[in-house]
Amino acid sequence: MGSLSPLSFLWGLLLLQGVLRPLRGDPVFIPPFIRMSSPEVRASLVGGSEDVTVSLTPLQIKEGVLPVPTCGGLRNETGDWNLTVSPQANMLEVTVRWKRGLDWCSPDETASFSEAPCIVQTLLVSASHNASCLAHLLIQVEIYPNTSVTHNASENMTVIPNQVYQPLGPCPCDLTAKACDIRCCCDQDCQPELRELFERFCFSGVFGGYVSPPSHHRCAARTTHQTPDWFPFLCVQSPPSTSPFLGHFYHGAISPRHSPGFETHSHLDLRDFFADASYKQGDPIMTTNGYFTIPQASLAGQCLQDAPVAFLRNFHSVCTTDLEVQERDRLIPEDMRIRTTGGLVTPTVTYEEATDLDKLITSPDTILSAGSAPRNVTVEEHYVFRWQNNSISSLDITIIRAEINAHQRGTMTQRFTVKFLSPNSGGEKEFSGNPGYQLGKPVRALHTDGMNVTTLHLWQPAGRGLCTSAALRPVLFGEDASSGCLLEVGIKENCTQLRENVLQRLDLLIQATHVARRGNSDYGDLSDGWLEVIRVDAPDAGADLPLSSANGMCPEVPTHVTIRILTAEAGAVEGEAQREILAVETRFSTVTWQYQCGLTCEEDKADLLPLSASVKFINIPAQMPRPTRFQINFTEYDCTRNELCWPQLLYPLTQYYQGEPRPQCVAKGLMLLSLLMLAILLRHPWVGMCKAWSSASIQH
Amino acid sequence: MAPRDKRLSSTPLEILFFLNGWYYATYFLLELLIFLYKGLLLPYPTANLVLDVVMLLLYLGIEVIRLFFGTKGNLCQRKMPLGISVALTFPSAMMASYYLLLQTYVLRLEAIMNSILLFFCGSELLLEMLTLATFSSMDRI
Repeated sequence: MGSLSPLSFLWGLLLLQGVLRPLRGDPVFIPPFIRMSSPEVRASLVGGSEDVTVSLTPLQIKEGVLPVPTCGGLRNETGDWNLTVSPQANMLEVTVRWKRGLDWCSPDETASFSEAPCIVQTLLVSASHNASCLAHLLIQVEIYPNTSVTHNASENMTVIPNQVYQPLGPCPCDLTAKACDIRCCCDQDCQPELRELFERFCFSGVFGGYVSPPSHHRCAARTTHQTPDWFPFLCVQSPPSTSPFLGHFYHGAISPRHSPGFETHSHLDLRDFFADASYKQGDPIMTTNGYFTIPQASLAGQCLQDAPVAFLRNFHSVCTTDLEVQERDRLIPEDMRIRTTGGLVTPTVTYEEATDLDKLITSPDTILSAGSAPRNVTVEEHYVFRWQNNSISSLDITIIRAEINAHQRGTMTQRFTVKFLSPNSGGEKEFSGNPGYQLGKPVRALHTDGMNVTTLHLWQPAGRGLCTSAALRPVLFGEDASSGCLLEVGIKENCTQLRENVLQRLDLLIQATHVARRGNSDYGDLSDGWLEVIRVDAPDAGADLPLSSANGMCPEVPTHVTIRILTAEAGAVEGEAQREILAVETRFSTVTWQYQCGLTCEEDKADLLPLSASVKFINIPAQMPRPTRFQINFTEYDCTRNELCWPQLLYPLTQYYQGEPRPQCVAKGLMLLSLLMLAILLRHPWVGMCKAWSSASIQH
Repeated sequence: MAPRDKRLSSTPLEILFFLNGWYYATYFLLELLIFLYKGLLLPYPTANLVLDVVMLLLYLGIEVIRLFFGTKGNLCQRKMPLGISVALTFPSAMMASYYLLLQTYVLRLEAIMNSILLFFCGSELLLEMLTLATFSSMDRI
């Protein structure tokens, strides 16, 4: 027993040493790799003792291969780098700094060099103890020229006038850049010919650009009332630029003092108080219960159930609703009253029954009959507003309903249209914009056989997605779209029949020979901006192709049509970009299709051939080419780039010197000139001239 | 001094000084009344009104000194008073120009009156220069 206890003690001692050994680790740099983009960088050496030596070595990278890190590099080779080691608690802080500072890294005048880094190096920081390496820190240096530091002054001098006398926004009604704002006479973008059109209807007052209060004391004031006899002599004839209320916005606290005096004639503005229900374009239409709402598509694409209807904004929305969700508690159309000027408008409601529910309902189950538990759903709602001036005169509502089973599951497609008609729009065809196309409006087209009004179409399948039951919807300007349907193909059809059938389906979408260039092209005049539709690769229906193949395969079946529409911005009207169509191209794509049977080819079975159509709008930008970097401006006489400015030496005759306001320059020059003249006159130069003249006459 | 039998004073200049004196008195009184009118009826800031009235008083001082020295210099045939009058014509013209162009509210009546004052200044300046030339030439001989 006595011999065992020293052995166990020895084992415990060995075990304790083994446990304590991993706690004393090697020193390590945190972080171990640094990407340096500023002139100074710091790292921490953790786990080292006091006698650790830190050194810095620039590495020479050869073909992207890092050399084996060696320890104990010579300190003399640090070059332009400065290494600082400062002891902290339980660690050493290592700082690497670039010695030359920022001035060494100044960009050149040419812009092409400022993109390249001016310092690209790799540094190795090593920690060693008694000539043995302990840790390494790799620093990748990439320092770019700092242009914001060296460019102290901007070369584009923006002269901001004194706000007291010239507000920064001297024309408050100038709301559109590079476009003439109508009735804004202080807008500098308005041409004189255009300004003459609305010169008598300019915005008056402060928001029309007249920052000074209007005064009827001016001689130029066009007074409508009778003026007193002394008015021609006591009227103010100084220009408005000397008004004491310049900078009315700037001071704010200054207000004109309209104290009543004898024989003061002030304008009495009779304000007309219009009715509350006067509508402007875009105003929401009001009913007796609040807003008049119809489901409309939002910008995100989903349908908003309670979107207000805007005055004079026609729309056509298609919404998909879940049949399991109960319809919203909508107002009964007969009880609705539209609020307008001069009273209320009672709408005229017409109901119709919808047929062919296969086109409307998409259901995983079969469509149940509505016999046992009927339920009415709204399929389509069409609203026609008739308006005059700023009021609504009548509203016609057409509701198309359908009876379905109350337990029917699936989704249903609903359509809502709102149209605004005026008494002047009797039988005219609708515009898609005036003159440019508006986004979301149908692309206007016509067929020269009979000059039929038509448009390009896409499918809108419902139910089982068959082509026979698919409806057509127009191609809308600016909206890329893609749609398709399924064509039933019988087993007895040969390839020629199939191709003819498919082409007939696809031609239904593009029954047009011409497309309108603008939104308001005249249908009766082909020379009024109508473009011929370019048809590419319309394949012949089996002229060179075999009737059928042994395996039931049909090559060259045109199953896809692509409509490409080139658009461009052709100018702007009142700041609105006007888009027009430059060209339209339709192109067919063919596939090799094979009839797919099941285990056995049955006679009455039919396979499905997918057809598709897509529309793509390609915008051609109208931009001026940007000037290249090789265009050098002549800057010898540019006063902002040279130290010597020749025109400034002619001060105060020229206006190049801007150190003082120009009136002060002229005043000082004139004072100097007057002093010079005074000095000349006080010396009596004519006395000398008389003496010289008299002496000359004496000599003669 | 000038010889006793020679009279070098300028009669047109003396006539202009006389008329200018009476005209300026009328101008000063009328301007005070006009400032009263403008202060009551027009939206006149108080600072601008005080500035204009104070400058009118300064103008009165300049004009009185100018006319006095001009008359004395012309009648006594002395160059120094006439030179002072010539020097004071420029600030006087500046004051008239201020009231013609740079005033806060320039009435049409004020424009007419200040134009007449500027005409007086121009004419007197021309005649004073001629009179100074006459005095200098006679002094030498």
